[in-house]
Amino acid sequence: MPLQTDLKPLSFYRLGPTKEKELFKRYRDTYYGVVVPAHIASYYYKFCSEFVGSLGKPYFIDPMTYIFANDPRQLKRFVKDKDSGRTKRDSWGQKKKGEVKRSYSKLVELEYSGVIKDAVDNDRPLVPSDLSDNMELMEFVQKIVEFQKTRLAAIPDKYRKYAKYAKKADKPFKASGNLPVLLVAPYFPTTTLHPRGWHATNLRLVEHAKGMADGLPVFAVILADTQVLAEDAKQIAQDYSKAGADGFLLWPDGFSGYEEPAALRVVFNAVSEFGRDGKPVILMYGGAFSLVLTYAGLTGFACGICYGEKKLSTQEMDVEGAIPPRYYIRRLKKKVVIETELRRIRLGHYPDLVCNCDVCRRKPDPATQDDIESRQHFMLVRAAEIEDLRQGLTQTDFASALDEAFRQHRNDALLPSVGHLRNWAALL
Amino acid sequence: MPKEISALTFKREVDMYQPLLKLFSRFGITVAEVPFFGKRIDLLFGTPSLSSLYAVETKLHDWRSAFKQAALNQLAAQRSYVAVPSKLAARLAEEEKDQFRRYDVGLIAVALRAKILVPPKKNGCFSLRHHHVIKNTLKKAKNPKAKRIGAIADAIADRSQTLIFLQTWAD
Repeated sequence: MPLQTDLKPLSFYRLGPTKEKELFKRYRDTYYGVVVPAHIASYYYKFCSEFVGSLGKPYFIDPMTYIFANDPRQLKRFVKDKDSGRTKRDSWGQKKKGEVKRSYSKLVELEYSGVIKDAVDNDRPLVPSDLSDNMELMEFVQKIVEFQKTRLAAIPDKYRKYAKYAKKADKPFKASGNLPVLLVAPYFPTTTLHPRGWHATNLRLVEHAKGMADGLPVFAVILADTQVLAEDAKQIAQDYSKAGADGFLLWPDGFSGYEEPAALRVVFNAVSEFGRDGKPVILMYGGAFSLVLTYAGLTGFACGICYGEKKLSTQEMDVEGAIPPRYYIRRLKKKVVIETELRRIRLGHYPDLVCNCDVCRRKPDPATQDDIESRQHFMLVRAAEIEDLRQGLTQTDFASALDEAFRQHRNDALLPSVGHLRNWAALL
Repeated sequence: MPKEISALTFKREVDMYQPLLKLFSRFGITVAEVPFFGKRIDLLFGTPSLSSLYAVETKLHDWRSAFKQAALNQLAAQRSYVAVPSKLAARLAEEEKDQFRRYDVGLIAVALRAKILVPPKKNGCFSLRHHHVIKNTLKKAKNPKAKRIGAIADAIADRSQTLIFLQTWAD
Protein backbone atom coordinates (compact mmCIF):
# COMPACT_ATOMS: atom_id res chain seq x y z
CA MET A 1 0.00 0.00 0.00
CA PRO A 2 1.42 3.40 -0.95
CA LEU A 3 2.22 6.04 1.64
CA GLN A 4 -0.87 8.20 2.20
CA THR A 5 0.84 11.57 2.01
CA ASP A 6 -2.50 13.39 1.94
CA LEU A 7 -3.06 12.40 5.59
CA LYS A 8 -0.38 14.65 7.08
CA PRO A 9 1.07 14.19 9.61
CA LEU A 10 1.43 10.41 9.53
CA SER A 11 2.32 8.91 12.85
CA PHE A 12 4.50 5.82 13.05
CA TYR A 13 5.28 3.92 16.24
CA ARG A 14 8.55 2.14 16.57
CA LEU A 15 8.31 -1.44 17.71
CA GLY A 16 10.38 -1.76 20.85
CA PRO A 17 11.51 -4.69 22.90
CA THR A 18 8.88 -4.06 25.57
CA LYS A 19 5.52 -5.75 25.74
CA GLU A 20 3.60 -3.44 23.48
CA LYS A 21 1.78 -5.84 21.20
CA GLU A 22 -1.58 -5.30 22.86
CA LEU A 23 -1.22 -1.53 22.71
CA PHE A 24 -0.47 -1.68 19.01
CA LYS A 25 -3.48 -3.89 18.38
CA ARG A 26 -6.02 -2.36 20.69
CA TYR A 27 -5.26 1.20 19.64
CA ARG A 28 -4.61 0.49 15.99
CA ASP A 29 -6.78 3.42 14.92
CA THR A 30 -4.60 5.96 16.70
CA TYR A 31 -1.58 5.72 14.41
CA TYR A 32 -0.68 5.23 10.79
CA GLY A 33 2.10 2.66 10.71
CA VAL A 34 4.89 0.76 12.40
CA VAL A 35 8.67 0.98 12.20
CA VAL A 36 10.51 -2.26 12.90
CA PRO A 37 14.25 -1.98 13.62
CA ALA A 38 16.21 -4.53 11.56
CA HIS A 39 17.78 -6.32 14.54
CA ILE A 40 14.33 -6.88 16.05
CA ALA A 41 12.89 -7.97 12.69
CA SER A 42 15.74 -10.46 12.42
CA TYR A 43 15.92 -11.78 15.97
CA TYR A 44 12.15 -11.99 16.56
CA TYR A 45 11.17 -12.51 12.95
CA LYS A 46 8.37 -14.99 13.68
CA PHE A 47 6.78 -12.64 16.16
CA CYS A 48 7.36 -9.58 13.96
CA SER A 49 6.02 -11.09 10.77
CA GLU A 50 2.93 -12.41 12.51
CA PHE A 51 2.58 -9.04 14.23
CA VAL A 52 2.80 -6.79 11.16
CA GLY A 53 0.80 -9.32 9.16
CA SER A 54 -2.11 -9.40 11.58
CA LEU A 55 -1.98 -5.68 12.26
CA GLY A 56 -2.69 -4.84 8.64
CA LYS A 57 -0.96 -1.47 8.95
CA PRO A 58 1.78 0.04 6.79
CA TYR A 59 5.23 -0.76 8.08
CA PHE A 60 8.86 -0.33 7.17
CA ILE A 61 12.12 -1.73 8.45
CA ASP A 62 14.89 0.53 9.71
CA PRO A 63 18.07 -1.22 8.50
CA MET A 64 20.08 0.25 11.42
CA THR A 65 23.26 0.23 9.33
CA TYR A 66 24.62 3.40 11.01
CA ILE A 67 25.39 1.40 14.13
CA PHE A 68 28.18 -0.47 12.35
CA ALA A 69 30.05 2.80 11.68
CA ASN A 70 30.12 3.55 15.41
CA ASP A 71 32.49 2.31 18.10
CA PRO A 72 32.05 -1.50 18.05
CA ARG A 73 31.62 -1.46 21.84
CA GLN A 74 28.17 -0.03 21.18
CA LEU A 75 27.05 -3.36 19.75
CA LYS A 76 28.07 -5.26 22.84
CA ARG A 77 26.08 -6.04 25.92
CA PHE A 78 27.07 -5.43 29.50
CA VAL A 79 28.54 -8.34 31.46
CA LYS A 80 26.35 -9.29 34.42
CA ASP A 81 27.39 -10.94 37.62
CA LYS A 82 25.52 -14.26 37.72
CA ASP A 83 24.80 -14.11 41.46
CA SER A 84 23.79 -10.50 41.98
CA GLY A 85 22.56 -9.75 38.47
CA ARG A 86 24.49 -6.49 38.58
CA THR A 87 26.72 -5.23 35.80
CA LYS A 88 30.38 -6.00 36.39
CA ARG A 89 32.82 -3.10 36.46
CA ASP A 90 36.50 -2.90 35.59
CA SER A 91 39.21 -1.47 37.84
CA TRP A 92 38.32 2.06 36.62
CA GLY A 93 34.74 1.62 37.69
CA GLN A 94 33.53 1.45 34.06
CA LYS A 95 30.84 -1.07 33.17
CA LYS A 96 32.30 -4.14 31.48
CA LYS A 97 31.23 -5.07 27.97
CA GLY A 98 31.12 -8.62 26.68
CA GLU A 99 29.86 -10.24 23.48
CA VAL A 100 27.96 -8.61 20.63
CA LYS A 101 24.27 -8.44 21.52
CA ARG A 102 22.50 -11.52 20.22
CA SER A 103 20.01 -9.56 18.09
CA TYR A 104 22.81 -7.78 16.24
CA SER A 105 24.89 -10.90 16.08
CA LYS A 106 22.08 -12.69 14.25
CA LEU A 107 21.55 -9.74 11.93
CA VAL A 108 25.25 -9.69 11.04
CA GLU A 109 25.72 -13.44 10.71
CA LEU A 110 22.56 -14.42 8.89
CA GLU A 111 21.38 -11.34 7.08
CA TYR A 112 23.97 -8.66 6.36
CA SER A 113 27.25 -10.64 6.44
CA GLY A 114 29.91 -9.41 3.93
CA VAL A 115 31.72 -6.17 4.79
CA ILE A 116 29.70 -5.68 7.97
CA LYS A 117 30.58 -9.11 9.29
CA ASP A 118 34.20 -8.47 8.44
CA ALA A 119 34.21 -5.21 10.42
CA VAL A 120 32.39 -6.73 13.41
CA ASP A 121 34.64 -9.81 13.44
CA ASN A 122 37.66 -7.53 13.50
CA ASP A 123 36.13 -5.39 16.25
CA ARG A 124 36.36 -2.19 14.21
CA PRO A 125 33.87 0.31 12.84
CA LEU A 126 32.86 0.17 9.20
CA VAL A 127 34.50 3.00 7.20
CA PRO A 128 33.57 4.44 3.79
CA SER A 129 36.54 2.77 2.10
CA ASP A 130 35.02 -0.64 3.00
CA LEU A 131 32.39 0.15 0.37
CA SER A 132 34.60 1.75 -2.25
CA ASP A 133 34.49 -1.33 -4.45
CA ASN A 134 31.34 -1.19 -6.55
CA MET A 135 30.69 -4.93 -6.48
CA GLU A 136 31.01 -5.06 -2.74
CA LEU A 137 28.71 -2.07 -2.36
CA MET A 138 26.10 -3.64 -4.63
CA GLU A 139 26.23 -6.89 -2.69
CA PHE A 140 25.83 -4.93 0.54
CA VAL A 141 22.81 -3.00 -0.76
CA GLN A 142 21.28 -6.13 -2.24
CA LYS A 143 21.31 -7.94 1.10
CA ILE A 144 19.83 -5.03 2.99
CA VAL A 145 17.13 -4.31 0.45
CA GLU A 146 16.21 -7.99 0.14
CA PHE A 147 16.02 -8.27 3.90
CA GLN A 148 13.50 -5.42 4.03
CA LYS A 149 11.45 -6.75 1.14
CA THR A 150 11.20 -10.31 2.33
CA ARG A 151 11.81 -10.64 6.07
CA LEU A 152 8.34 -9.68 7.24
CA ALA A 153 6.48 -10.05 3.98
CA ALA A 154 5.24 -13.58 4.63
CA ILE A 155 3.91 -14.85 7.91
CA PRO A 156 5.43 -18.04 9.37
CA ASP A 157 3.75 -21.30 8.32
CA LYS A 158 2.48 -22.06 11.79
CA TYR A 159 0.26 -18.98 11.74
CA ARG A 160 -1.36 -19.77 8.39
CA LYS A 161 -3.90 -21.98 10.12
CA TYR A 162 -5.50 -18.81 11.48
CA ALA A 163 -6.53 -17.71 8.00
CA LYS A 164 -9.89 -19.49 8.30
CA TYR A 165 -10.68 -17.69 11.56
CA ALA A 166 -9.79 -14.35 10.03
CA LYS A 167 -12.04 -15.15 7.12
CA LYS A 168 -14.90 -16.04 9.46
CA ALA A 169 -14.46 -12.76 11.30
CA ASP A 170 -14.24 -10.91 8.00
CA LYS A 171 -10.76 -9.63 8.89
CA PRO A 172 -7.91 -9.26 6.37
CA PHE A 173 -5.32 -12.04 6.44
CA LYS A 174 -2.28 -11.81 4.23
CA ALA A 175 -0.18 -14.95 4.20
CA SER A 176 2.30 -13.40 1.81
CA GLY A 177 3.00 -10.23 -0.06
CA ASN A 178 2.79 -7.98 2.97
CA LEU A 179 5.41 -5.64 1.60
CA PRO A 180 6.78 -2.65 3.52
CA VAL A 181 5.33 0.73 2.62
CA LEU A 182 8.82 1.97 1.75
CA LEU A 183 12.39 0.77 1.60
CA VAL A 184 15.12 2.50 3.55
CA ALA A 185 18.45 2.73 1.77
CA PRO A 186 21.39 1.67 3.95
CA TYR A 187 22.69 4.77 5.71
CA PHE A 188 25.53 6.17 7.74
CA PRO A 189 25.98 9.48 9.56
CA THR A 190 26.70 12.55 7.47
CA THR A 191 29.29 14.57 9.37
CA THR A 192 30.82 16.28 6.34
CA LEU A 193 30.22 16.49 2.60
CA HIS A 194 33.86 15.66 1.93
CA PRO A 195 34.10 13.15 -0.96
CA ARG A 196 35.80 10.59 1.28
CA GLY A 197 33.19 10.88 4.03
CA TRP A 198 30.00 8.88 4.38
CA HIS A 199 27.88 11.35 2.40
CA ALA A 200 29.26 10.29 -0.97
CA THR A 201 28.82 6.62 -0.03
CA ASN A 202 25.28 7.25 1.20
CA LEU A 203 24.39 8.69 -2.20
CA ARG A 204 25.71 5.60 -3.97
CA LEU A 205 23.77 3.41 -1.56
CA VAL A 206 20.55 5.22 -2.47
CA GLU A 207 21.27 4.96 -6.20
CA HIS A 208 21.81 1.21 -6.00
CA ALA A 209 18.88 0.64 -3.65
CA LYS A 210 16.66 2.43 -6.14
CA GLY A 211 17.72 -0.03 -8.82
CA MET A 212 16.75 -3.00 -6.66
CA ALA A 213 13.49 -1.71 -5.20
CA ASP A 214 11.06 -3.37 -7.63
CA GLY A 215 8.85 -0.32 -7.64
CA LEU A 216 8.79 0.30 -3.89
CA PRO A 217 9.69 3.86 -2.90
CA VAL A 218 13.25 4.23 -1.60
CA PHE A 219 13.79 6.66 1.23
CA ALA A 220 17.14 8.14 2.18
CA VAL A 221 17.96 8.65 5.84
CA ILE A 222 19.59 11.99 6.57
CA LEU A 223 21.43 11.35 9.83
CA ALA A 224 23.25 14.57 10.62
CA ASP A 225 23.51 16.93 13.56
CA THR A 226 21.96 20.39 13.48
CA GLN A 227 25.28 22.04 12.67
CA VAL A 228 25.63 20.02 9.45
CA LEU A 229 21.97 20.62 8.62
CA ALA A 230 22.37 24.36 9.21
CA GLU A 231 25.26 24.55 6.77
CA ASP A 232 24.51 21.90 4.18
CA ALA A 233 20.81 20.93 4.16
CA LYS A 234 20.26 22.46 0.72
CA GLN A 235 23.23 20.67 -0.83
CA ILE A 236 22.33 17.36 0.84
CA ALA A 237 18.74 17.59 -0.41
CA GLN A 238 19.91 18.31 -3.97
CA ASP A 239 22.41 15.45 -3.89
CA TYR A 240 19.83 12.93 -2.73
CA SER A 241 17.27 14.10 -5.24
CA LYS A 242 19.84 13.50 -7.98
CA ALA A 243 20.52 10.07 -6.49
CA GLY A 244 16.85 9.26 -6.97
CA ALA A 245 15.53 9.19 -3.41
CA ASP A 246 11.73 9.08 -3.36
CA GLY A 247 11.53 10.60 0.11
CA PHE A 248 13.50 11.37 3.22
CA LEU A 249 13.73 10.06 6.74
CA LEU A 250 15.24 12.96 8.61
CA TRP A 251 17.21 12.19 11.76
CA PRO A 252 18.71 15.31 13.31
CA ASP A 253 21.21 13.54 15.53
CA GLY A 254 20.36 13.88 19.22
CA PHE A 255 17.86 16.66 18.55
CA SER A 256 14.73 17.20 20.58
CA GLY A 257 12.03 19.82 20.29
CA TYR A 258 12.97 21.18 23.70
CA GLU A 259 16.22 22.70 22.46
CA GLU A 260 17.14 26.33 21.93
CA PRO A 261 15.32 28.36 19.24
CA ALA A 262 18.32 28.32 16.87
CA ALA A 263 18.33 24.50 16.72
CA LEU A 264 14.55 24.42 16.26
CA ARG A 265 14.86 26.84 13.37
CA VAL A 266 17.53 24.68 11.71
CA VAL A 267 15.31 21.61 11.79
CA PHE A 268 12.25 23.59 10.68
CA ASN A 269 14.21 24.92 7.70
CA ALA A 270 15.69 21.50 6.94
CA VAL A 271 12.22 19.92 6.75
CA SER A 272 11.18 22.71 4.44
CA GLU A 273 14.29 22.21 2.28
CA PHE A 274 13.96 18.42 1.97
CA GLY A 275 10.27 18.71 1.14
CA ARG A 276 10.80 21.43 -1.45
CA ASP A 277 10.22 19.12 -4.45
CA GLY A 278 7.10 17.65 -2.89
CA LYS A 279 8.94 14.57 -1.65
CA PRO A 280 7.71 13.15 1.66
CA VAL A 281 9.81 13.93 4.73
CA ILE A 282 9.41 11.76 7.84
CA LEU A 283 11.17 12.52 11.09
CA MET A 284 12.90 9.33 12.26
CA TYR A 285 12.57 10.19 15.97
CA GLY A 286 10.08 12.92 16.72
CA GLY A 287 7.90 14.17 19.55
CA ALA A 288 5.30 16.90 19.89
CA PHE A 289 7.54 19.34 18.03
CA SER A 290 6.75 17.28 14.92
CA LEU A 291 3.27 18.80 15.07
CA VAL A 292 4.90 22.20 14.60
CA LEU A 293 7.07 20.83 11.80
CA THR A 294 3.94 19.81 9.92
CA TYR A 295 3.63 23.49 9.02
CA ALA A 296 7.10 23.30 7.48
CA GLY A 297 5.89 20.43 5.31
CA LEU A 298 6.68 17.39 7.46
CA THR A 299 4.84 14.33 6.18
CA GLY A 300 5.11 12.21 9.30
CA PHE A 301 7.14 11.21 12.30
CA ALA A 302 8.09 8.13 14.24
CA CYS A 303 8.70 7.43 17.92
CA GLY A 304 8.16 4.74 20.51
CA ILE A 305 4.88 4.65 22.41
CA CYS A 306 5.51 7.45 24.93
CA TYR A 307 9.30 7.21 24.60
CA GLY A 308 12.05 7.45 22.00
CA GLU A 309 11.20 10.89 20.68
CA LYS A 310 14.84 11.76 20.20
CA LYS A 311 17.97 9.71 19.69
CA LEU A 312 21.67 10.28 19.59
CA SER A 313 23.19 7.89 17.07
CA THR A 314 26.16 7.19 19.34
CA GLN A 315 24.13 6.56 22.48
CA GLU A 316 24.60 3.32 24.41
CA MET A 317 22.34 0.60 23.00
CA ASP A 318 22.34 -1.64 26.04
CA VAL A 319 20.28 0.56 28.31
CA GLU A 320 20.01 -0.55 31.90
CA GLY A 321 16.98 0.14 34.03
CA ALA A 322 13.46 0.84 32.86
CA ILE A 323 12.21 4.28 31.87
CA PRO A 324 9.90 5.44 34.68
CA PRO A 325 6.29 5.65 33.43
CA ARG A 326 5.48 9.14 32.21
CA TYR A 327 2.27 10.99 31.55
CA TYR A 328 1.87 13.31 28.57
CA ILE A 329 0.23 16.66 29.31
CA ARG A 330 -1.39 17.66 26.07
CA ARG A 331 -1.58 21.42 26.61
CA LEU A 332 2.02 21.68 27.79
CA LYS A 333 3.29 19.26 25.12
CA LYS A 334 5.47 17.63 27.70
CA LYS A 335 5.71 14.41 29.68
CA VAL A 336 6.08 14.21 33.44
CA VAL A 337 7.19 11.29 35.59
CA ILE A 338 4.09 9.80 37.18
CA GLU A 339 5.77 8.49 40.30
CA THR A 340 7.22 11.85 41.32
CA GLU A 341 6.20 14.91 39.31
CA LEU A 342 2.57 13.96 38.86
CA ARG A 343 2.16 13.02 42.51
CA ARG A 344 3.57 16.37 43.52
CA ILE A 345 1.86 18.55 40.89
CA ARG A 346 -1.68 17.25 41.44
CA LEU A 347 -2.98 17.90 37.97
CA GLY A 348 -6.56 18.23 39.16
CA HIS A 349 -5.62 21.69 40.48
CA TYR A 350 -5.13 22.84 36.87
CA PRO A 351 -8.51 22.49 35.11
CA ASP A 352 -7.06 23.37 31.69
CA LEU A 353 -4.58 20.49 31.93
CA VAL A 354 -7.10 17.80 32.79
CA CYS A 355 -7.49 15.29 29.98
CA ASN A 356 -10.79 13.78 28.90
CA CYS A 357 -9.53 10.82 26.90
CA ASP A 358 -11.10 7.42 27.62
CA VAL A 359 -8.28 6.36 29.91
CA CYS A 360 -8.35 9.58 31.95
CA ARG A 361 -12.12 9.46 32.25
CA ARG A 362 -11.76 5.99 33.69
CA LYS A 363 -8.93 7.04 35.98
CA PRO A 364 -9.36 10.76 36.64
CA ASP A 365 -6.25 11.04 38.81
CA PRO A 366 -3.43 10.43 36.34
CA ALA A 367 -1.01 9.92 39.22
CA THR A 368 -2.65 6.53 39.69
CA GLN A 369 -2.16 5.42 36.08
CA ASP A 370 0.25 2.59 35.44
CA ASP A 371 2.73 2.31 32.60
CA ILE A 372 0.26 0.73 30.19
CA GLU A 373 -2.51 3.20 30.97
CA SER A 374 -0.24 6.21 30.53
CA ARG A 375 0.81 4.85 27.14
CA GLN A 376 -2.78 4.29 26.14
CA HIS A 377 -3.47 7.88 27.13
CA PHE A 378 -0.47 8.99 25.06
CA MET A 379 -1.71 7.17 21.96
CA LEU A 380 -5.20 8.63 22.28
CA VAL A 381 -3.98 12.17 22.92
CA ARG A 382 -1.38 12.11 20.14
CA ALA A 383 -4.05 10.87 17.74
CA ALA A 384 -6.33 13.75 18.80
CA GLU A 385 -3.51 16.26 18.29
CA ILE A 386 -2.88 14.88 14.81
CA GLU A 387 -6.57 14.94 14.02
CA ASP A 388 -6.67 18.65 14.90
CA LEU A 389 -4.01 19.30 12.28
CA ARG A 390 -5.71 17.14 9.69
CA GLN A 391 -8.95 19.01 10.30
CA GLY A 392 -7.21 22.22 9.28
CA LEU A 393 -5.97 23.83 12.49
CA THR A 394 -4.32 26.96 11.14
CA GLN A 395 -0.71 27.85 11.85
CA THR A 396 -1.87 31.04 13.59
CA ASP A 397 -4.36 29.24 15.81
CA PHE A 398 -1.82 26.61 16.75
CA ALA A 399 0.74 29.30 17.59
CA SER A 400 -1.84 31.17 19.69
CA ALA A 401 -2.72 28.04 21.65
CA LEU A 402 0.95 27.35 22.39
CA ASP A 403 1.59 30.95 23.38
CA GLU A 404 -1.47 31.07 25.61
CA ALA A 405 -0.44 27.92 27.45
CA PHE A 406 3.03 29.37 27.89
CA ARG A 407 1.74 32.63 29.35
CA GLN A 408 -0.61 30.85 31.67
CA HIS A 409 1.93 28.46 33.15
CA ARG A 410 5.38 29.99 32.68
CA ASN A 411 5.77 31.01 36.31
CA ASP A 412 4.12 28.03 37.92
CA ALA A 413 6.14 26.72 40.82
CA LEU A 414 5.59 23.02 40.22
CA LEU A 415 4.85 22.42 36.55
CA PRO A 416 7.75 21.52 34.28
CA SER A 417 9.30 24.43 32.39
CA VAL A 418 7.26 25.47 29.38
CA GLY A 419 9.73 27.71 27.53
CA HIS A 420 9.50 25.39 24.52
CA LEU A 421 5.89 26.51 23.93
CA ARG A 422 7.04 30.09 23.39
CA ASN A 423 9.86 28.91 21.12
CA TRP A 424 7.52 26.77 19.05
CA ALA A 425 4.95 29.55 18.76
CA ALA A 426 7.68 31.91 17.57
CA LEU A 427 8.52 29.53 14.72
CA LEU A 428 4.98 29.49 13.40
CA MET B 1 25.80 39.99 55.97
CA PRO B 2 29.31 41.39 55.43
CA LYS B 3 29.91 42.74 51.94
CA GLU B 4 32.86 40.46 51.12
CA ILE B 5 30.73 37.40 51.90
CA SER B 6 27.65 38.43 49.97
CA ALA B 7 29.81 39.37 46.98
CA LEU B 8 31.39 35.91 46.83
CA THR B 9 30.77 34.28 43.45
CA PHE B 10 30.67 30.56 42.81
CA LYS B 11 31.70 29.03 39.51
CA ARG B 12 30.07 25.64 40.04
CA GLU B 13 27.23 24.40 42.21
CA VAL B 14 29.60 22.00 43.90
CA ASP B 15 31.60 24.97 45.17
CA MET B 16 28.64 25.76 47.43
CA TYR B 17 28.74 22.33 49.07
CA GLN B 18 31.31 23.00 51.78
CA PRO B 19 29.30 25.70 53.58
CA LEU B 20 26.23 23.48 53.23
CA LEU B 21 28.02 20.50 54.78
CA LYS B 22 28.96 22.71 57.67
CA LEU B 23 25.39 23.96 58.06
CA PHE B 24 24.09 20.41 58.35
CA SER B 25 27.10 19.00 60.21
CA ARG B 26 24.86 17.58 62.94
CA PHE B 27 23.66 14.88 60.55
CA GLY B 28 25.54 11.61 60.53
CA ILE B 29 25.25 10.86 56.83
CA THR B 30 25.75 13.13 53.83
CA VAL B 31 25.28 11.85 50.30
CA ALA B 32 25.57 13.68 46.98
CA GLU B 33 23.96 12.79 43.64
CA VAL B 34 21.25 10.50 45.01
CA PRO B 35 19.22 8.86 42.19
CA PHE B 36 15.51 9.44 42.55
CA PHE B 37 13.17 8.24 39.78
CA GLY B 38 15.33 9.33 36.89
CA LYS B 39 16.57 12.53 38.54
CA ARG B 40 19.16 13.15 41.21
CA ILE B 41 19.00 14.86 44.57
CA ASP B 42 22.05 17.13 44.87
CA LEU B 43 22.62 16.69 48.60
CA LEU B 44 20.87 14.50 51.12
CA PHE B 45 21.53 14.70 54.84
CA GLY B 46 20.34 11.91 57.07
CA THR B 47 20.44 10.61 60.59
CA PRO B 48 22.42 7.36 60.97
CA SER B 49 19.17 5.37 61.03
CA LEU B 50 18.03 7.27 57.89
CA SER B 51 14.68 7.88 59.55
CA SER B 52 15.08 11.61 59.05
CA LEU B 53 16.21 12.97 55.66
CA TYR B 54 16.80 16.56 54.54
CA ALA B 55 17.27 17.28 50.81
CA VAL B 56 19.09 20.26 49.33
CA GLU B 57 18.92 21.34 45.71
CA THR B 58 21.64 23.76 44.63
CA LYS B 59 21.60 26.20 41.73
CA LEU B 60 23.72 29.19 40.81
CA HIS B 61 21.09 31.04 38.80
CA ASP B 62 18.02 29.07 37.70
CA TRP B 63 16.28 28.94 41.06
CA ARG B 64 12.92 27.98 39.52
CA SER B 65 14.22 24.63 38.31
CA ALA B 66 15.83 24.06 41.72
CA PHE B 67 12.48 24.86 43.31
CA LYS B 68 10.66 22.31 41.14
CA GLN B 69 13.22 19.64 42.05
CA ALA B 70 13.04 20.62 45.74
CA ALA B 71 9.28 20.18 45.55
CA LEU B 72 9.77 16.67 44.19
CA ASN B 73 12.31 15.90 46.90
CA GLN B 74 9.55 16.57 49.43
CA LEU B 75 8.10 13.19 48.51
CA ALA B 76 11.08 11.42 50.05
CA ALA B 77 12.61 13.85 52.54
CA GLN B 78 10.97 15.39 55.55
CA ARG B 79 12.49 18.76 54.76
CA SER B 80 13.55 20.15 51.42
CA TYR B 81 15.64 23.22 50.61
CA VAL B 82 16.82 25.29 47.68
CA ALA B 83 20.36 26.62 48.16
CA VAL B 84 21.55 29.53 46.02
CA PRO B 85 24.31 32.15 46.26
CA SER B 86 23.59 34.70 48.95
CA LYS B 87 22.90 37.60 46.63
CA LEU B 88 20.21 35.71 44.75
CA ALA B 89 18.90 34.26 48.02
CA ALA B 90 18.47 37.73 49.48
CA ARG B 91 16.38 38.76 46.49
CA LEU B 92 14.29 35.59 46.66
CA ALA B 93 13.71 36.03 50.39
CA GLU B 94 12.30 39.42 49.62
CA GLU B 95 10.33 38.78 46.45
CA GLU B 96 9.43 35.09 46.52
CA LYS B 97 9.13 34.32 50.21
CA ASP B 98 5.42 33.55 49.88
CA GLN B 99 6.05 30.90 47.29
CA PHE B 100 8.66 29.19 49.45
CA ARG B 101 6.30 29.27 52.42
CA ARG B 102 3.25 28.16 50.44
CA TYR B 103 5.02 25.02 49.27
CA ASP B 104 7.01 24.43 52.49
CA VAL B 105 10.33 24.65 50.67
CA GLY B 106 13.28 26.10 52.57
CA LEU B 107 15.69 28.69 51.22
CA ILE B 108 19.39 28.76 52.03
CA ALA B 109 21.79 31.57 51.26
CA VAL B 110 25.31 30.36 50.53
CA ALA B 111 28.46 32.44 50.79
CA LEU B 112 31.50 31.56 52.88
CA ARG B 113 28.90 30.32 55.30
CA ALA B 114 25.43 28.99 54.59
CA LYS B 115 22.40 30.40 56.32
CA ILE B 116 18.76 29.35 56.30
CA LEU B 117 16.69 32.37 55.23
CA VAL B 118 13.33 30.62 54.96
CA PRO B 119 12.99 27.57 57.20
CA PRO B 120 10.85 24.81 55.67
CA LYS B 121 8.03 23.12 57.47
CA LYS B 122 7.53 19.40 57.46
CA ASN B 123 5.69 19.12 54.20
CA GLY B 124 2.35 17.53 53.46
CA CYS B 125 3.58 15.66 50.41
CA PHE B 126 5.92 13.35 52.29
CA SER B 127 5.29 9.77 51.25
CA LEU B 128 6.61 6.83 53.21
CA ARG B 129 6.85 4.79 50.04
CA HIS B 130 9.17 7.31 48.38
CA HIS B 131 11.09 7.68 51.61
CA HIS B 132 11.70 3.94 51.65
CA VAL B 133 12.85 3.99 48.04
CA ILE B 134 15.58 6.48 48.98
CA LYS B 135 16.45 4.63 52.18
CA ASN B 136 16.84 1.39 50.24
CA THR B 137 18.96 3.11 47.61
CA LEU B 138 21.27 4.42 50.34
CA LYS B 139 21.40 1.08 52.12
CA LYS B 140 22.27 -0.76 48.91
CA ALA B 141 25.16 1.60 48.15
CA LYS B 142 28.19 -0.55 47.51
CA ASN B 143 31.00 1.63 48.75
CA PRO B 144 29.71 4.00 51.40
CA LYS B 145 33.13 5.16 52.57
CA ALA B 146 32.80 8.91 53.04
CA LYS B 147 35.08 11.03 50.86
CA ARG B 148 36.34 14.58 51.33
CA ILE B 149 34.43 17.04 49.21
CA GLY B 150 37.65 18.44 47.76
CA ALA B 151 38.66 15.04 46.43
CA ILE B 152 35.39 14.34 44.69
CA ALA B 153 34.20 17.80 43.64
CA ASP B 154 35.00 17.28 39.95
CA ALA B 155 33.05 14.01 39.81
CA ILE B 156 30.06 15.77 41.37
CA ALA B 157 30.39 18.71 38.99
CA ASP B 158 30.47 16.54 35.86
CA ARG B 159 27.81 14.20 37.28
CA SER B 160 29.86 11.13 36.44
CA GLN B 161 29.03 9.31 39.69
CA THR B 162 26.00 8.71 41.82
CA LEU B 163 25.62 8.07 45.54
CA ILE B 164 28.76 9.83 46.70
CA PHE B 165 29.08 9.64 50.47
CA LEU B 166 30.75 12.77 51.79
CA GLN B 167 32.64 13.43 54.97
CA THR B 168 30.57 15.59 57.24
CA TRP B 169 32.26 18.91 57.80
CA ALA B 170 34.37 19.13 60.92
CA ASP B 171 36.37 22.15 62.02
